Amino acid sequence: MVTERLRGPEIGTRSRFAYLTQRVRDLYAFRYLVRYLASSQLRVERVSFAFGFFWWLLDPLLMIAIWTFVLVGIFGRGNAVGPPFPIFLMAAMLPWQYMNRAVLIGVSLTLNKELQMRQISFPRAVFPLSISISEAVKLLLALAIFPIVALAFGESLSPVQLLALPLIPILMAITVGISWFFSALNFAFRDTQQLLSVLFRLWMFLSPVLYSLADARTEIPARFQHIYELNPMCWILVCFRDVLVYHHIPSLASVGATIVAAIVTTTIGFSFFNMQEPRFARLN
Amino acid sequence: MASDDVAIAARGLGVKYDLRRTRGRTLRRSLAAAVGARRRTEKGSFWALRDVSFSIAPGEILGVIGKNGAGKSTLLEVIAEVIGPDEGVIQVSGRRPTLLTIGAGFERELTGRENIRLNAAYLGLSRKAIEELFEPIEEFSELGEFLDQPLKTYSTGMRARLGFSIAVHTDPDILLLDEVLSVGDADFQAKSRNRLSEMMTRARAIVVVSHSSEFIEQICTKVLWLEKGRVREFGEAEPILAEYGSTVPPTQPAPLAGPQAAVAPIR
Repeated sequence: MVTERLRGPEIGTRSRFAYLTQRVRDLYAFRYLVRYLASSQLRVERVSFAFGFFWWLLDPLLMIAIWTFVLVGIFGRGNAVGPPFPIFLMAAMLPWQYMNRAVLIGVSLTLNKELQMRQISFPRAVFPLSISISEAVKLLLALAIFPIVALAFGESLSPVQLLALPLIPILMAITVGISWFFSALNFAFRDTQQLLSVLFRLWMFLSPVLYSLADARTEIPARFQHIYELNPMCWILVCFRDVLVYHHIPSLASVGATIVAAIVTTTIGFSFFNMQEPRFARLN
Repeated sequence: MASDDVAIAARGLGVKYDLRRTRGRTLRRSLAAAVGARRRTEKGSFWALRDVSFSIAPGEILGVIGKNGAGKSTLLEVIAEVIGPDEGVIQVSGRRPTLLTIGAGFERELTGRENIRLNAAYLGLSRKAIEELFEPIEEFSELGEFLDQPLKTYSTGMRARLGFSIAVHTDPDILLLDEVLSVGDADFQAKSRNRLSEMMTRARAIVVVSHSSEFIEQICTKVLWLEKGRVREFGEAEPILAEYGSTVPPTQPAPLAGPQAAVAPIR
């Protein structure tokens, strides 16, 4: 536990690292707050909407139905061979939607908790973190119906699909990193929130959600391919699809890439967030 | 630097409010600034605190005096770590939470009990510590079965009583007090007073903010006199209070006598 706290710009750049490790410890000290915020978020949603948690299932399913309708029904796209398109789509759309929602809610929640931030000192990083946890609970529920949908489309099940579970913490790490980054950016530039939904739409098209990475590789010019694959969401989606749709154990390279993406996004997101944090309470 | 005989130490502390940025930058304002709406946005910045240095030892009671806008509230916010300094260093010892406002972080939709939990969680208490708080807070607040009702059904007085009860049971290391805040009826106030003096004996240091020197005179060992964000005087209480008293017309006596202060309601 901390017994001594020094703050101020003149503590020197050498201690910037010390400051960040301190913030990690602070965040750990507030773990109960994170847990409480996450569970109360879920509780509030469950009681304040007529359909309660059915929305948590309905929302992603509707999303998949719409995209299937657009892509298969209207554009005649689909997989002649291989798995049915809704299954193919669902495996990547669920984790994508999770990231998307967790970041958007996390960004606006961080801004809306202005009053709390002006009154109590606590690590503001708890808000994006608690949202990525509560949204992960919904993701788990949505993933739980994946086997039912798969069976309905005549697909078989395999124990390999359970490997989606250890992928969830990695996805959460990537998500919270992105969420920290944009939450802090939103404090400096209030337009971030408005631009974010547009950015995420674009980002979705630039990620293997509606198509596979193999499709992307045949379409994208070779020199852009590496840039495309630097997308922190790219490999985690590939892994989810490998596991859920193809019953493959993901390659070491793709698992490695997701872990690197998780470490890089959380490090950048957390550092940026905490460098901005001392100004939060004054920027409103 | 980190020594045991310092409860709070500030060195060259400065807090700047950038007037252009207090509302956050938006694309529109940035563009406006870029294409020449300069005159309006070039108000520059304003130092709410500048070059503030002082230090107090454990067990001391610091009184902060000064007129409105002298930077007293900003200083409390820095001590409570709600905002970080732009200049200088602040050192605050202790690991138990410093509370700036009572009832901070309350949510209308949650019940009183859930709000106790939430409020204590915002202060960084662990689950175990929070469980131990319930009983004394329940008893102290005298809210009875209302604790299981959502906060939106509470009257202002009940809400304040709940906030106050939580505040006095979390035992901060550094206690921040604003001059007068009376909550509840006479009985409750008497109880609050006892509880506060108990807390004052346990806290590592106490910071009291006031316009009036009377309240400060009663309890403080050190006084920090702020003027326009700078330190005018710092030191032993009596001589400074005497000087302060001569520059300020005598204030009206505090509405109720005695140190019946509460944890600072800043906003």
